[in-house]
Amino acid sequence: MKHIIVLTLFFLAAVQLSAQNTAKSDTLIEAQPGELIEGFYLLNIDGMYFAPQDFPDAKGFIIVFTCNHCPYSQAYESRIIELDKKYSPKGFPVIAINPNDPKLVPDDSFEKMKERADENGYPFPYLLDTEGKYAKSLGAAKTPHVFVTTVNERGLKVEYVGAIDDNSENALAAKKKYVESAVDALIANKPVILPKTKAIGCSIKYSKK
Amino acid sequence: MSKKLFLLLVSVLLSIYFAFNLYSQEVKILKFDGLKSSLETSGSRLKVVNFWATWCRPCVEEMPSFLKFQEIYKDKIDLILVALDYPSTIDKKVLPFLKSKGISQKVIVLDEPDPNEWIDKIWPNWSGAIPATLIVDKSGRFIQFYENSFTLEELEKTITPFLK
Repeated sequence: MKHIIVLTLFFLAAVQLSAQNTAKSDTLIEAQPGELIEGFYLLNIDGMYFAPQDFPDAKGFIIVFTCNHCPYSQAYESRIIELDKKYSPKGFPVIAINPNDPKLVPDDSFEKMKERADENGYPFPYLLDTEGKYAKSLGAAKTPHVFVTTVNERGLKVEYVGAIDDNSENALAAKKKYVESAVDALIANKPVILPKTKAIGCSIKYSKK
Repeated sequence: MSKKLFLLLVSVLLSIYFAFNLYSQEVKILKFDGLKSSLETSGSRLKVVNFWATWCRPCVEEMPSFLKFQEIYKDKIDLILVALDYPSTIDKKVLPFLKSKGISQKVIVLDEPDPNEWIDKIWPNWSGAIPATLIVDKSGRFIQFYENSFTLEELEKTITPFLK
């Protein structure tokens, strides 16, 4: 009898483990502050590929996973433009990346990306992450989802991950400007006080393969 | 007024009242603490808490499955729809949406500008993407969380084991 109980327990534990493993395979793991990540190498709306090496003066990047269709991305669009205007001259340009599969979201196609960037005068690259591979490697789950990095000889180091500020609906009512505080600290060679935040966003529509 | 006419009038008024009520939705605006304490209140049914928004396409697409699931298991689960639309858009977006879909289910609108303050209190691993669904047991404990869409079949497969 004892044996049967022990065997049953083992069996249950094994089932539990395998269940966890399957869950893990499609769970995104967000790159954390302090982690080194690979650089991007993605097609811009102007038909050119961009990599970190194309920005020799950059001390770091404000990588923003965003897209056309998501109302939260739209609510933050002008704030993302302002971030680039403010911080690109200081060595932290914005890199906007659309990770959505246009087959799932037609509004996020390469053509529509070009249209939106032209209409709204994006001063930053707006890159297409085909099949969402780069976004997945960073564990990006939603739009907008920001990763502020610094550049070092080994790659990009995550310094901040999360939301742009504390009020998606109203830029003027935002009291805590998370990304700005993080980049200001990095420029001043100070530690980022709040290196991680969370916000509601549109789930990234990763291509189903 | 004759008694017959009076009764007729009353029944007409009552049926208008009920017909109207059937499709008039209740939207409750809550702060996070209010939402949390209402979820943590113990009850006789499992709570299935769906976080959605009118602007979230996969949320809107999965809603019929949740409503159907609730209909099938109405004695065993409470479906709680938590809309993350901005409270300022209730009249313009949320109510017209519920009306157009004929949803009479109670809807909570969360009135909190900074999700960073409360996302972790729902479920620490939640990235903040929606659709997302929280399972709360009868004693008010948050026992499981899903950051994905569901079909009716998937709900059956995933949620019914909690009913045992």
